[in-house]
Amino acid sequence: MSVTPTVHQHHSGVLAPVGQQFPLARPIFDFPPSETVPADAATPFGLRFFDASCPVNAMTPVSYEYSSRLQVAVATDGSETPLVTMIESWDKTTTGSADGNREGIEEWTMDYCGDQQS
Amino acid sequence: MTVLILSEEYDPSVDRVVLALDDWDVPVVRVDLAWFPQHLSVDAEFDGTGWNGGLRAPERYVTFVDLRAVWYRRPTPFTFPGNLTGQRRAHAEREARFGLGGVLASIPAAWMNHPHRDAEAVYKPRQLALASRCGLRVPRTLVTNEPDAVRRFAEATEHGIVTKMLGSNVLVEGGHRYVAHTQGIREADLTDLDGVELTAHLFQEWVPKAHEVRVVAVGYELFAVAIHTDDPEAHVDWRANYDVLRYAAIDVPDFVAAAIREFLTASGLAFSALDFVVRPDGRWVFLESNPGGQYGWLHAVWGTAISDAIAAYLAHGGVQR
Repeated sequence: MSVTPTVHQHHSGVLAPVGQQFPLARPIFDFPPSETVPADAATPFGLRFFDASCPVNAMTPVSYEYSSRLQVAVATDGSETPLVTMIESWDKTTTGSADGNREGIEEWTMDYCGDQQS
Repeated sequence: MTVLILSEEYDPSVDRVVLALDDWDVPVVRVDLAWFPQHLSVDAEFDGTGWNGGLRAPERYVTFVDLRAVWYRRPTPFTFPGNLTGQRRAHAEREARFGLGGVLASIPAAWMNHPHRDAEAVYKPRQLALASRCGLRVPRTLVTNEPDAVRRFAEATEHGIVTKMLGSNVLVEGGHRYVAHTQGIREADLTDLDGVELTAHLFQEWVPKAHEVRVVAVGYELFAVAIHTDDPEAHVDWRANYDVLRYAAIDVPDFVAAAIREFLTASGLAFSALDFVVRPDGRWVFLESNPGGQYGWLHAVWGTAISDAIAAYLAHGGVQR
């Protein structure tokens, strides 16, 4: 048996601002306030490579209930069947917010601090 | 001893781990920080040596001293009563982050991953430098807001350059959600670099590619999947079109595996999803590490092996057999 220490080194944490050292994930349906973009608005070069994937109002949440007893998402039919046992599309190759069966954020980039958002 | 999982409510990957721990009779408490303060409360008292007390969640109470391991997987922000507005809500958010977040971050358990390490680990320039120091091959990379530097960099590379986001590749604006993938830079782009000067941009040499690999690291265990495609767009970035990808479980070369483990050790990470290019000559080139990376979509390749490895890591308090 080999023993793996969990945290191996001391880290200074100088890169992440204090507020972001306890990073929280933006809820997928928590959108920033819509703003009108003027035609002459400055655009960082990288933004020209962003493609519209969908209107935010077309995004629909997965229907589930959270079972405090089982501590997993369950079907909404009252059966308390864990949804994860019903997912048929795990081989659908999306890295969604829900990791595998929902469109969403590609990866968790942990750039969300609720107290720093408008 | 209990495993604490901090995650959002709907996360099938977490569900698998919770069910596995239940099957093994390992006590587990799952909490979303969005429950705080309305459905989750904290009572923590420092007694001179450590934090006593615990978290009270619906149907569960867990004491800090009883925690063996903590899985920090994208909990969502605190949710405050609707009659808190503006600056008062921001105040409450900060107090919750520093108070509850501070107590949680002090728990001397096996973390996957500790939030402070997660926060540091997302900086791509730091990743590249650290990966190189750990023995991984890393592409030549430019971070700049100088258009001339981009042209100089492009001229000096043999196979052209690409650009990718340093932070999030998702933008919501004007009621639409926008996504960016790694993008090849064409001659036309080099003649019109307007906007480069507005902020930092990352450019990287194009690495000739046989295929890409995602390596999911769970402690010292590595699960690697080769990602193949014939689609031109997905060849640049496989995230661009999942429908044209083919997967195969593969082994990681020993010297790459050793370097990955050293990278994780140096980063203080117990989990990460790392992306590589495998060149036509078989050499592996590190692209990035995603400490909050996804793996559930690889279920078709690895089945429950990754979930089981995470559950085992947590159940054994970070000790791997």
